[in-house]
Amino acid sequence: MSMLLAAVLMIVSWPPVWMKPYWVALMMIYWLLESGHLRKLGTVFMIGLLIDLLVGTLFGQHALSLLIMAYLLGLFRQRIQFMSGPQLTVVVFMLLVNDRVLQLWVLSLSGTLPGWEYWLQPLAGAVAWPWLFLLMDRLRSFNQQQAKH
Amino acid sequence: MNVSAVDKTQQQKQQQRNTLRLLMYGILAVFLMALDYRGQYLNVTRNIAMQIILPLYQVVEWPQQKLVQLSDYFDATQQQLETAATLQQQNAELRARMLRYQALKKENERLRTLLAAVESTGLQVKLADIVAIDLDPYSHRMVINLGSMAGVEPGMTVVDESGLLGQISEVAPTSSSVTLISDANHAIPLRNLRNGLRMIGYGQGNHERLLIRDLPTGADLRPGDTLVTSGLGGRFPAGLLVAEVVESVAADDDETGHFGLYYARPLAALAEASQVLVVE
Repeated sequence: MSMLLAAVLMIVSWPPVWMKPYWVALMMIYWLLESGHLRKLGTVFMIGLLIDLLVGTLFGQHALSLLIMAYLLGLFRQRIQFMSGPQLTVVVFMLLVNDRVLQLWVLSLSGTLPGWEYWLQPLAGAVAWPWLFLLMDRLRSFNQQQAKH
Repeated sequence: MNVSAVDKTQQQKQQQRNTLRLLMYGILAVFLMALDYRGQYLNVTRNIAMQIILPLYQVVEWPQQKLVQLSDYFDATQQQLETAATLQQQNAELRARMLRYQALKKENERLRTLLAAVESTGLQVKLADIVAIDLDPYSHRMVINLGSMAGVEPGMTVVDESGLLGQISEVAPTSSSVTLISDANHAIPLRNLRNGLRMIGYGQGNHERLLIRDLPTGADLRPGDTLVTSGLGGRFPAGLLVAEVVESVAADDDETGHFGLYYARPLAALAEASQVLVVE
């Protein structure tokens, strides 16, 4: 559900492109860290394909991007899990930068070279991350309380 | 899941399995991208999926549209009055010009009948709004709010008031997607308005530029020349304004030195158009 919302946020034309976070990636990172959802790489792959279709990129571009992020998170899961908030934000930022490099490779293969504002996106993601994290945590604890009553 | 309860070796195995899966899905992704880029193999799949996705775009756009309307509503009345005044003035001016235009049109018709020319190729157009959807900024597509119910078909030409934008690629009942001439996979047959020289303009994945190659170095093409559609190939109607030649550069991969490269700037506002015309 939240992943679908994140997917929709990807195509909403606000804010302008250069300060729009990579919503789907942020949401995925949250679920991977906080619960067992999305542990299967196959699910991640399918979500990526859906995003490719939505935003009109080459089939597989976002799939590959999300896939590698999910894998890296799985690799360093034990270490990341006990990190403090700011440390976590730095990790998220690095993941997003790494992803930009990867997507740059895909874009350049298809003959498109993005401008400098392309590199501002991880920054936007890092800024949005703590708020998304807090919001999702609140929502989830609220839901759990509701379930108990 | 309780991590500490999981045996260490089992964890390693899990990790290995994940690596294998990553490799498998990664290769699949690269394969799909290559297939999508190289050929038209995935076009059918994309077409079918777009039928489902295009209406979704409109659902997503709806609240945005309402928000814009709401903010418009709260705009100062003073501003509205001012706009109304300027618009009235413009209207008067345009009407005056229209009178002259009508006179010219009549004269033109008279001359035409005199020449017994074939009926002028008047273009039928439909006004469409661009749906406020952010597609990937590097994919050079956009979505408009007219679809098959309005008679839009794949391959139709899309223009704005200053030049050619692109062509319709996928069509759903109430919306369709447009591939811009700047798309890296798009090429368009062109003609130099000044001397009739024919050429092909290739999209570069850049809103500001088209590439023209395969012209001999001696070709009569100069910065400032206007390029229009040639109508060859039958995809685009002939004579639509497309681009203006900006500069010529030496091709660095051409050892013979017999061919020149030219860059042209599209005349249509590819990046910031908000209303477009679909040509039938």
